[in-house]
Amino acid sequence: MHSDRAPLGLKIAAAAGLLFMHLPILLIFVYAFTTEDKSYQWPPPGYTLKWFGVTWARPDVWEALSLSLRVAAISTLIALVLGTLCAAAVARTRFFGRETISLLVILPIALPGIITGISLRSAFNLGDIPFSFWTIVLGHATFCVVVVYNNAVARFRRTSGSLVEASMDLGANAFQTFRFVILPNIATALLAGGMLAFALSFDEVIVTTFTAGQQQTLPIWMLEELVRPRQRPVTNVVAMVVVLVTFLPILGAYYLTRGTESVAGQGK
Amino acid sequence: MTTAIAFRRVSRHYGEVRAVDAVDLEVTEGEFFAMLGPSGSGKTTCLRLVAGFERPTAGEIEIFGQPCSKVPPYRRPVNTVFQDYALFPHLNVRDNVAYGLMIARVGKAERHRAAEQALEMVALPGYADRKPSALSGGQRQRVALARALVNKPKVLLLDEPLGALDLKLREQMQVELKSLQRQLGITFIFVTHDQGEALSMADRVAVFNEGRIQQVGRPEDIYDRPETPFVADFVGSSNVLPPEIVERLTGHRAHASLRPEAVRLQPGGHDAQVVELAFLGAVTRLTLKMEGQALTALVPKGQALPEKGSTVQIGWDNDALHLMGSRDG
Amino acid sequence: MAETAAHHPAPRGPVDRLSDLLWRRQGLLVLLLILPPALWLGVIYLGSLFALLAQSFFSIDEFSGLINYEFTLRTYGELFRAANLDIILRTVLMAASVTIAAAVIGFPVAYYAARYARGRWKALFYLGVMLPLWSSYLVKVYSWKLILAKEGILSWLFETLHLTWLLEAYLSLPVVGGNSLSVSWTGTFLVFLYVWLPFMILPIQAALERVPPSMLEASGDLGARPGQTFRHVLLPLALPGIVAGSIFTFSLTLGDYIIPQIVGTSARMIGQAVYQFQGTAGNIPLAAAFAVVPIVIMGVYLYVARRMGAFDAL
Repeated sequence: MHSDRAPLGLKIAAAAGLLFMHLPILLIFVYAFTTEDKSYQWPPPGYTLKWFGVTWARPDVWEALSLSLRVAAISTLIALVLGTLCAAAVARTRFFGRETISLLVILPIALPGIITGISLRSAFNLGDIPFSFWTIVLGHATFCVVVVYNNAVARFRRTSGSLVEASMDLGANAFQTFRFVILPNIATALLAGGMLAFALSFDEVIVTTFTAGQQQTLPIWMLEELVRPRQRPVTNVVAMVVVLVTFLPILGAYYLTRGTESVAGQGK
Repeated sequence: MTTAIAFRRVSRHYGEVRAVDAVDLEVTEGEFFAMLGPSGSGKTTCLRLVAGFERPTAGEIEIFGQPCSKVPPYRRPVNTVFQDYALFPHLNVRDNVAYGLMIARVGKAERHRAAEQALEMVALPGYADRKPSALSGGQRQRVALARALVNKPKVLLLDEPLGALDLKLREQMQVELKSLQRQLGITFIFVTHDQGEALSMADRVAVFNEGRIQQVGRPEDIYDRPETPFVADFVGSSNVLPPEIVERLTGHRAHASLRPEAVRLQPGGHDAQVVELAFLGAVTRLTLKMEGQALTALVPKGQALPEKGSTVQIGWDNDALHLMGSRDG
Repeated sequence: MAETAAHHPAPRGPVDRLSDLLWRRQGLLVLLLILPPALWLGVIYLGSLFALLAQSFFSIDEFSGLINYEFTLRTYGELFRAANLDIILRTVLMAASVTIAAAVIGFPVAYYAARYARGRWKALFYLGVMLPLWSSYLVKVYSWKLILAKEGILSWLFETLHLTWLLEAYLSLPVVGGNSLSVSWTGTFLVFLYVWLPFMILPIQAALERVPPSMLEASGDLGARPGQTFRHVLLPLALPGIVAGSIFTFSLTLGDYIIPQIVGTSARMIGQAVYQFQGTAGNIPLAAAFAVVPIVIMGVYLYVARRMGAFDAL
């Protein structure tokens, strides 16, 4: 235990844990090419590329994808503004209710998603608000704030407070200081937070089922396929594409914040 | 002579804490002025009040005769060198130095030229393209200085600017700062907790303790004629004798300061016990006990040293014993 | 050179004037910063949450099926009916098993990553946990539907190894078994474990990163065997991380309704009950009362976790 070589048992356990986390996702990639279209047979009886073409020609998949992308874009934008404002207020100053604000930001992901979902739905019911694009965005932006907030608040803490003073000392007013000093220093953290928020929104299903009404985001489309499989091969292809699409912002966020602060433990 | 900075009964309170308490002070144009005191004595808060990062709870600060409680930092004719330098990490050295000019809408070519000149002035030419993270502590300090001076402030504020440097670099920078100030003729206000630094560089020194000014004066006056026991003790670790002993010695009932280097081993003087000896190089420091009162004496190298625990006789010149007012430290 | 603009005492325009105001009144700045997020979260989120809570104090008229808007605790009383208590108990049990299993499997990964992995390996481990954490929830569930299917890879594996009898023996067990893995309690458990495992690893790793290796060496130096060092030094220091991770695994399992719906038995969990009562059954008061259960459980859990210092590891 004192040496810097890990015991064999630990090595095996750690490797097994990692494999457990990755093998199932890799399996998806194999199934996307199977010729079998009625069951989940393993090993696949044959391999084909034809389902990619079939999926490409499906308007319902495209519509769901487009809705998901639009929702994620708008929700991320709202979360960026709200999360940054909140982080700026909490990181820079001590004020009454500061702890409460942090808790309020974290609550939407700390509580199970179904509670956020059903709360929003009953509020829409009480307020006679019909389901729309914006009811989905409302829910998504609410739980995306925390991701941006966490990234921004960590960066604000690392950025020396005297930078702001130095800028004002050198003649810059509050707005110039924001533009020339604060924004450049938090930009990568915001970009990382925004990417994660995008991934989170793009993938969200639990809250969305309560706020979407008859609209279909890509995850809702997938959920229906899961509950009542009708188009297994198309689902396989969509699942693989979703994995690839969400990996990009995650890797991007990782490289942006690497070596500065961890994006760990931010949860979903 | 014009008054550059004036404090008029300035206080800064944080709830119950009186960081600065009814301070009156005038700094003359062209002066190298030091604010000296232990940490938490209010000296840095005073500097921040002048810069505009803090606002007084009561009183008024005037900069060249103009009240400025309502003037934000970005419109005051002062610039600051920060303790942690506060260089902008996303800008290279040139853009850091040119920042103030950029904000003031000076053209790119002109402000770059000015930045290069300022860097030359602080003996840092050729570093313009580096990022602050690629500089040493001493180099960052020079950039911070150039960044402030390029704006031609009427008053330059320096917040413990040499605190993070090692001894040798610090001594070198002390000399450079002093000559820079002479050359530019700008008023410097310099905050430090190092009395040696304050005494060697400043034209005048204000000694702070617990939010109040204890004494303002030329370094020689502060050193030779401390007005309070705190000043005597803080500036050069003078012996402070209590009124009872001073009364027996001189007939006056008051605190008195007695410099350690003025205490001599002198047969026929006052009896004192040697408690401790510490070899300091050029001198040896004796810790003595006289009539129950601890005293330090500095004995130059080459003189015979007493044994630890022995009793010696000590004395001093009459004018070495400096009586102080009743203000407490 | 001319004096720079920093030396003009008068504001230069409306923007400067506004900036001056913010400088003079720091409180106003904070207020302006905090107002939009506080309004959004306070009105939209908390408002909805209270709307939900309020509903739980109403009841449903059994004959008309309409909501009776009068304060009553009757709906909460219904939670204590045997069938409903069963649902709650089953869910809490599942959450607890998932949490324990995740801690056991996650610890070695976190420990290796924190203590031994260096350089490229460290980055690899980090991404190795982050990618599954952030990759699509539904895709992850879907992959297990493929794995656990009767004709899927797991059955094939048992068959290839000539161990089909073992799988069948296991499936014939009461409670954990079932017709096939995809409709068994074990299946639900495996999917939960898989989906929430990264949420356990990251906080444990964060806690372990803060344990200096010299501390473990000191323990060994003082004569502790590796097992003793683990029990008396490493585990107590990692505990806040484990508790922090368990907040995620516990909370997420309590509220999930999709996993047990797709993989598992017909016996419901809290999430499914909430979903069905508010949807097909139209009994919103009872759904709301059910939704309060995880909130209360998590409230207690967070309170205990906070006292154990778990929030420092988040």
